[in-house]
Amino acid sequence: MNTLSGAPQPDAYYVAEAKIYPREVTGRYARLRVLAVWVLLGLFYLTPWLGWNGRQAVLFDLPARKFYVFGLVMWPQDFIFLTGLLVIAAMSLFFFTALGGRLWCGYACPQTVWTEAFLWMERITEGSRGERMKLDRSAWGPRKLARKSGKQALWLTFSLWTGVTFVGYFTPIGTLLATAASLSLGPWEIFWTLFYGFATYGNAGFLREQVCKYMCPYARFQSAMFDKDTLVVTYDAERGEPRGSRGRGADLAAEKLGSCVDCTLCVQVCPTGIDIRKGLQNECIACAACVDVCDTVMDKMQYPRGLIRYTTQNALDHKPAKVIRPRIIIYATLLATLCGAFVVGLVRREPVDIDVTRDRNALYRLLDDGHVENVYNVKILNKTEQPHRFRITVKGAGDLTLDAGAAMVEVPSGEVFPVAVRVRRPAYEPLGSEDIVFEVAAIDLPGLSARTRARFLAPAR
Amino acid sequence: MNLRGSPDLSDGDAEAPLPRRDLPVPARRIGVVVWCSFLAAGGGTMVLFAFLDPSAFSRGEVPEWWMSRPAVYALGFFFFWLIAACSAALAVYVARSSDGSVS
Repeated sequence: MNTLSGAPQPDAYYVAEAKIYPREVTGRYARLRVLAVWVLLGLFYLTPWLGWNGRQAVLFDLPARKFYVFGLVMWPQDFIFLTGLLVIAAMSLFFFTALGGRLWCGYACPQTVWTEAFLWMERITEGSRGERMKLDRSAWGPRKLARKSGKQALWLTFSLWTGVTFVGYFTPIGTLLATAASLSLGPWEIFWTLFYGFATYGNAGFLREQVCKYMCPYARFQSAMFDKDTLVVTYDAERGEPRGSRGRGADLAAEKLGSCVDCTLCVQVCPTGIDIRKGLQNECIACAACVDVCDTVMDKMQYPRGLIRYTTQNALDHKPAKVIRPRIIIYATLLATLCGAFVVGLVRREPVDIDVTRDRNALYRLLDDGHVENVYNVKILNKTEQPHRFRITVKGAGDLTLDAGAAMVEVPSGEVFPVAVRVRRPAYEPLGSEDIVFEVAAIDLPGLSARTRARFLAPAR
Repeated sequence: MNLRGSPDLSDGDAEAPLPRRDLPVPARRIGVVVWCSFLAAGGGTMVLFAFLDPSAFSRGEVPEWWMSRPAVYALGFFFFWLIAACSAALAVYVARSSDGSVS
């Protein structure tokens, strides 16, 4: 409907405020998700507490512009690795989406994982789905107040702790808690703790499935990675229809009924409130809660499981299913190449860096003794966690010498050390300018070295 | 809910299926604008400050607060977020009023 036409839009702007009360579910996929929640949230909350060589193992020290990841120290110069990591993450998402559908949404997305945790807190304070609905309908009294405030207290504490943990990735978490205890937190630490805590509370407690339905870009473009061999959660309409209630042990053929007993439990468990029996829908996050609950019903009815199941469009159409197909091969190849390049790059990464720029004040200087001299600004970056003594050497076609004062420098850990270097050689051997190579090597640690090219200018005749 | 002799699967009083709770359209649009610009601002901040160290300018004529890297990072992020949100809001508004199909 055209919004400019002035026609009334009764449904679009004022939607009945009916809340979704996802019903709790048990089963194979629910257990898998609970496992994912424990592993992922466990990783998030525990990682800042790990130590490594007397410092926090994973720390993104923004004030010092250094990222510590266990034994690695990453510098702004290593930005390419962060970019590489993001590209790999995106490519993995493409690969797993093409293969298994919205596995990300159902089991790994922070939105799913935190919502699951918040739902669990809602359940232990307000009770099961039926109890929650009854509670919301009932008048305010001590019992309702106690349950509701209990839930809010749990949610707020959990959110706040999430905020603290998040900031703990950027400020050492021990120091953070100590300063918090002495009420001397910096304004930015307070701000980011509250900001992230509020985001957690709003997304997992209040917005929930609305994020998936209206805000998530992945939900919109994931269908581009789908084909007829991608795993999707589907209702087998051929087997289920016509649906309807029936007595136990009823003759389905005689009553002209399919396997669906129309209990609507699949709708009740759905966190996004859709009816999977209407076919594959954009809102479906493939959490498989409907698969679990339908399986329990099928068990009770003594029907075979899998009326709602993970399957592919081709399988439903009775066509052969193919796991290996062009898009899988392409995604897998790209992913493997990127991962390989990332690992090789990380292993080959030099913990020392040298940067050479020519002094811009003079092209070259002819000395009285028949030599020509160029001046360079050399910067040595020591990315290791210890100070090192470095020797600078220079190689070229001619007989190059460095001035003695600059040949040996001590660079503290994690610092850029600038040094002005004079390089000279006989003016006409060889004739004209040439490319030379600067090398910096640690005296106290063999193998720690880096080199770079520079231009040596000299008269051509 | 009555399943005529089949096992009791209901909550007793849960009249399903429920009508769906959805954010009103303006709230959805705000959500889209805020979230998408947040993502863009995060990316922009990372790239900018990977190549630009705020303290590299601190010897020049810059205000006092520029000395603190976290403050500059945070302000840079919010600046990006604001600009991206303006752009996203404008895009949503224009797309909506041009074909009327965005809802």
